[in-house]
Amino acid sequence: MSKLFKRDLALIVAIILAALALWGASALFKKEGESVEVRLRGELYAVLPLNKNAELDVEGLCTVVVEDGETYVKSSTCRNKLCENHRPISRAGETVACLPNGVTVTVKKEGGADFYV
Amino acid sequence: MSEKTRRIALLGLLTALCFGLSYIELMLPALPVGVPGIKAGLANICVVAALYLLGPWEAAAVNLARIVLNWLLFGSFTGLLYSLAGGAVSFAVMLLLKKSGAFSPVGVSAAGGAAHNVGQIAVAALLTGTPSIMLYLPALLIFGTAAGAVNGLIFAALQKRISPQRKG
Repeated sequence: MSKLFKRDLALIVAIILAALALWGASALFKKEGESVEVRLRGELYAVLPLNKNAELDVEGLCTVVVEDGETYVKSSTCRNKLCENHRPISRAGETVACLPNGVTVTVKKEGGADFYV
Repeated sequence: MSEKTRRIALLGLLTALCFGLSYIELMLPALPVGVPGIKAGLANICVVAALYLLGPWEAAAVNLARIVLNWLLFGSFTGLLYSLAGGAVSFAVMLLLKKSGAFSPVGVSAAGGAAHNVGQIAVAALLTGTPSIMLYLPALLIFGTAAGAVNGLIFAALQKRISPQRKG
């Protein structure tokens, strides 16, 4: 039993170390973002510049706000409100997801003209 | 009671318990960190129990019944896809680790928790067309492993108390 327990512990530590390594690697490659990409159920819904304040209503499901170079989900119709609780994001690759509504808000490296789809 | 009757009764009991735990879990508040997919995974205690007390087929049956019942009663179709992906990956990993004989239920359940999150976030990346959602993976791995380990400890404690009926 105690031999198994040691192996269990090694396995758990290995997974956690792998997670920390992944996290470290992703943190190293983060860059400041320039635009915000909003997707609805996998389809591109809108692209907004990160340096211009804006408020976007996504089909009445979520309200996405761009404010002072950051973006966040201000309100959502979903049940658990995880997206509303997510801190504002500003670095390329960061995402706020509202999975129940199928909405994702991702900061992108490339800037772009703002457009709606 | 014949062995077969005992196994069928236990299978029904574990399925019902699994469903009950899913319902309890539904009422637990989500951690306010904004990362989707962080949860206790209590229902997995029953899948682990079925795996150890009955066998792989029975465990797969409990797992599938849990997923389908949850979908029918509380879920959406998208939710079903997430559950199926998480459930399948988690089950495969737990089965392999148990077969290896190298780990106790605690290690098996911990890896199962982590694997569940890997399956779910992969489907989320596909369905949302947002690969960078994978950046949640490190946090999910840590919480999934911790939750799985706790569930494994709960099962280990239960297993000790029901040992006269223990199988395999």
